[in-house]
Amino acid sequence: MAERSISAKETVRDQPNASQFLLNVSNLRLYFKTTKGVVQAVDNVSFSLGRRRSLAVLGESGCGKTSLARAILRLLPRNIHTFSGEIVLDGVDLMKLDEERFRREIRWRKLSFVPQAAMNALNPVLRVGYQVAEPLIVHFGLDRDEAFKRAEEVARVVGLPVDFLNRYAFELSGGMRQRAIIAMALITRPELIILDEPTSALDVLTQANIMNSLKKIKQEFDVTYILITHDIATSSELADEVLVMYAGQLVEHSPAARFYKTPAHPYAQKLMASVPTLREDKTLEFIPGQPPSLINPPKGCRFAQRCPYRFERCAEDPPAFSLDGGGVARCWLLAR
Amino acid sequence: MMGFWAVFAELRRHPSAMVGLVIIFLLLVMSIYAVIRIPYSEAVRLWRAGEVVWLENPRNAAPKWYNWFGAGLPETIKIETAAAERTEERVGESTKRVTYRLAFDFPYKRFPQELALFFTSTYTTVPPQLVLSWRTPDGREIPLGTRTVRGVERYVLSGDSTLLRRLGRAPEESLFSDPKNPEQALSGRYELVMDVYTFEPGASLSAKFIVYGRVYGWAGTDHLRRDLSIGLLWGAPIAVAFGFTAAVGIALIQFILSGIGAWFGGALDILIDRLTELRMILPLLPILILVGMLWSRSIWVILATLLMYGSIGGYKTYRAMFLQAREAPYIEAAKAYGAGNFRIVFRYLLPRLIPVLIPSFVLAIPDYVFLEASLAVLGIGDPILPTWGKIINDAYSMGAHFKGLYYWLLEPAALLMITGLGFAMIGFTLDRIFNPRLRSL
Amino acid sequence: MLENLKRLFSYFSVRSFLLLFTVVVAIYLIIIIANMGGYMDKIKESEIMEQVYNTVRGNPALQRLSPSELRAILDKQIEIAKRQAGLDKPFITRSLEYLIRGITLNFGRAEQMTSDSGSNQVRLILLERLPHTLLLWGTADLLVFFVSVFFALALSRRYGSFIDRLSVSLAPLSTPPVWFYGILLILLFASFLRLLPYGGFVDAPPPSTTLAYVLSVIKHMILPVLSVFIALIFSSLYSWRTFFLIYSSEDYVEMAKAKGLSSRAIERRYILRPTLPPIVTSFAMMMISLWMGGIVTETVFAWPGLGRLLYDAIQHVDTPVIVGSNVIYGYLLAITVLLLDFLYAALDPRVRLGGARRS
Repeated sequence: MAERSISAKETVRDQPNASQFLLNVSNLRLYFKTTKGVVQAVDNVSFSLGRRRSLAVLGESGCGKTSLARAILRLLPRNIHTFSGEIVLDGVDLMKLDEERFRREIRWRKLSFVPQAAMNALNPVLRVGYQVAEPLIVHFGLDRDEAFKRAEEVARVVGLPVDFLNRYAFELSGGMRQRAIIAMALITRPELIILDEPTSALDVLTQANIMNSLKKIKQEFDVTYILITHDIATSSELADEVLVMYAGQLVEHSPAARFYKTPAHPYAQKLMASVPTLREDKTLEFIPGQPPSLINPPKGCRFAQRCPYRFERCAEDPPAFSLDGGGVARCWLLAR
Repeated sequence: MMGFWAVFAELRRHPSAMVGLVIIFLLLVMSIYAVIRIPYSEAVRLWRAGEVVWLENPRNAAPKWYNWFGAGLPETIKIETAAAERTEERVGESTKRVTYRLAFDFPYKRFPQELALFFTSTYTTVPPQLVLSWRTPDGREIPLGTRTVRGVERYVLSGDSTLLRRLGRAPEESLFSDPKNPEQALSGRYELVMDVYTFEPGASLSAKFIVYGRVYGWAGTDHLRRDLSIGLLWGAPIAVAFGFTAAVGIALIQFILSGIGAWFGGALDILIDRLTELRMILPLLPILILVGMLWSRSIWVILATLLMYGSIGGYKTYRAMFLQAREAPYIEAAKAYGAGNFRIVFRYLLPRLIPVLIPSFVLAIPDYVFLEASLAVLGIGDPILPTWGKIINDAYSMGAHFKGLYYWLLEPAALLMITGLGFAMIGFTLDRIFNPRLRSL
Repeated sequence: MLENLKRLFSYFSVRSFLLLFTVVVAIYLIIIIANMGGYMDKIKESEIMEQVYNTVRGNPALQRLSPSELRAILDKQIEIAKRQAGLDKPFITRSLEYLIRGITLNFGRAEQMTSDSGSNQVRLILLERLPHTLLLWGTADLLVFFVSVFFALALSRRYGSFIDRLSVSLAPLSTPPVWFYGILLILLFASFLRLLPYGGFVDAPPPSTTLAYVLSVIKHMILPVLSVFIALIFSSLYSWRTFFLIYSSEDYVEMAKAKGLSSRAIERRYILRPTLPPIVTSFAMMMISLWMGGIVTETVFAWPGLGRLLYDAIQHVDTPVIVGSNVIYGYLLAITVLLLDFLYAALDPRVRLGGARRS
């Protein structure tokens, strides 16, 4: 097992024993104010995530998975309408921390973030190496030389040639930049790393390379991923558990092994049916229609309109039903 | 791309833009009024004519509305012999004496600025003579001397040094001063008594007596007695026309040339870079001065030079936009379905670019207005046109700021400022509306 | 580090060279314009005439002749001299010589004006006035730059607040040029309130002690610098606050926040630093228009700089000085462009590393 946190500056935990779950999200709501109305981006989502159980969050664009990530990371825009619930990370309720405590104790110490490769997440006028080393300087007070040494170590881990650290972002290709960002996210050995579509803007070859690096990191370091993606195929490489979101709600959360073979929720089933497989000959399906608007979501099950198994009960919002083999899904079909 | 009415509706939400629109509207009304009321040739004639046209105006008079603030400045009073009390008497064989009593009320405490008599006499060989005397409201009589009048003459009493020596004080003051309060004027009814002696039958003399006030019109007068309101009024259409034409001209030229450049690309790129640099180095104002000194100061030449200057640079913004727009997928799509180049350019490219063009175009207009004013202030302005800059130039070189003639400087300055503000307010608001990166904030 | 400096140096040299080329073209254009009015020829001619007069007058053998004979000899000599000097050659060749003159600021003698030291060499007159212009506008530029960057950054933090909306709505106040506010300030502070001088460089007679002299100059600088400040501050605040706002919404700024950097650090390294290059460019444009606007402003304030010189030259119709002023302004602008280009390169690695070394 690789090293854990670097310095002795541990945070005070709310509970004396570390809970068995790394992350406990309860009744998370995130609504935005827009000129057209209130967008219910994340509507009453609850789930728990164990340590070293990496989670893939799947769903179409606009289903709220990115908003979920931003809620946990507290990277929120100005137009918030509602932001409530509980997010307990390693025993600490993040929602109860003020901004300054959150910044000092949580950001990049317990929790880090790998954005989409398409984003220009690197400062164009600072050297890449500096940006990778920066969290160590800021959070742990390391001096530059020490921090740069660590940056070199972590660069090797992610497969980034060390002399690239001396360069600027524009000198690196997309794949290299993403590696640098992963290195940056890893350098403080956080417990949870949230990755938002980390490979979707890259070509297939680079995608595969980076997925391999991520797998290696997962095996060698004591880190838990939350991987947000719409690419079901690549998610299967890293996920231990899968969470499916639809129209701002959680519709299924189950162990990966079971999910990829037999998803429980009709929407999840449709999703899996739309993925081409190498060895079978299957007709690809698509789901007709569009997800409902998040401004005035319909009452009852939000997928009912597009669901082939729709029946009268679906007019009522389904609760989460436990599944055999672990996990939950919100569908009345499971009530029987 | 927003439609015209959508833009207008958007503008309505910003109060500063609405104020700007009101200002521009008023400016246009003023311009149209100026052009209709005093046609161009008339305005030029009036403005460049020397004192002859303006002789009956006071010099450097303040605007009439100064008196609303209790300045108590006298207005100009004109009395003519034709309207005055007249008595005739035969004195000798062919000598006739006609006595005119030019009476007027002077209700002011401040002294008039100047006193002048304009005579017209008709005679064959012997010119008429006259004896002048002055009657104050408190009954004093002051003799003013005699004169012989030949033809059309102007007698400026206040400039008569003999009279000054005799009275011991400037005539316009001593004739009006209150004995009890010598620094103030005595208000009341005054009389200028003219005894006109004619020595021939048929000879006659008519006169106009002008007591020059210290206020005139709604704008005052300048050192050449010109009514400033004409200059100020006409400054509006000139300023707007110049600014607008320059802005449109330069924008068009740059637009077209950068479109051509973007179309051909390649080596033209380097040329454009160097040209833009050249334009940055060429000092615009000194060159305009050079042209004005060595060639011609006419406003058309200045405009032409400005257009030439503007056409050699400033492509970068438009070029970047053109290139971007050219690669846009819908352009490719249009080409794919067989749209001709012309159609692509006009229906697809141009509308994309107009929203970015318009704010900078509107904001450029006041810059050119002030450029023309700068040239005028330096003395290189168009010599015949009445522009606001020229008025400021006159005022400044005549030391208006030393002499406390604030209105002379402030009126054209205020008009320039308001014009500039009007366009700028609209322009800045348009920039806020059209700037795509700002909209997402 | 050394690698960096070397690269910066080579960038600088390339830029200077290109700029020099452009400067030469600019001066050439100025010369052509001047000579369209026949002026460069006239300068040459008057030099020739002066030379010939001096030679003839200095020749004792010719003293005895009658005026008309003297005149005939003079004219003949002038003709010969002119032909020797090539004044009858085509324009292209003449213009090249004038170009060299232009570049070296050799414009002969002023027609009526003299420098303070008594010389009427145009070059000396120009160079004498240069420091005053640099002092005034240099100070004003720096003041406006630092104050507006500081406040624009503060404003961008308070987007949508009252003070932000107020300063945005005041932006149009920057439309009038500097001299306009100059006149208003003079009316207010010099004419009406009698607090500050109407203009000029220093009190007349100038104070004897150095300290008093410096203070007097500063007193005379207050109104001009204030006019520059008022004229430029609103639009600078608006543009740079807009820049900062746009650049604060960049993804890397959000990453910096996610990384847990303090707002101070984010502002300095992630907002200010990347925005400086475009700010420097926009500042360059501002400085250029300031040099131009300075002409009328110096006139209004009777500040003894190049601008005032140009105005005086117009009044006296002293054309060599006018042409010379054009050239020196060209140089001034070129140096401004060069300095700011250099600053831009130092701040933006994308420029000085010239094109990505993609890996």
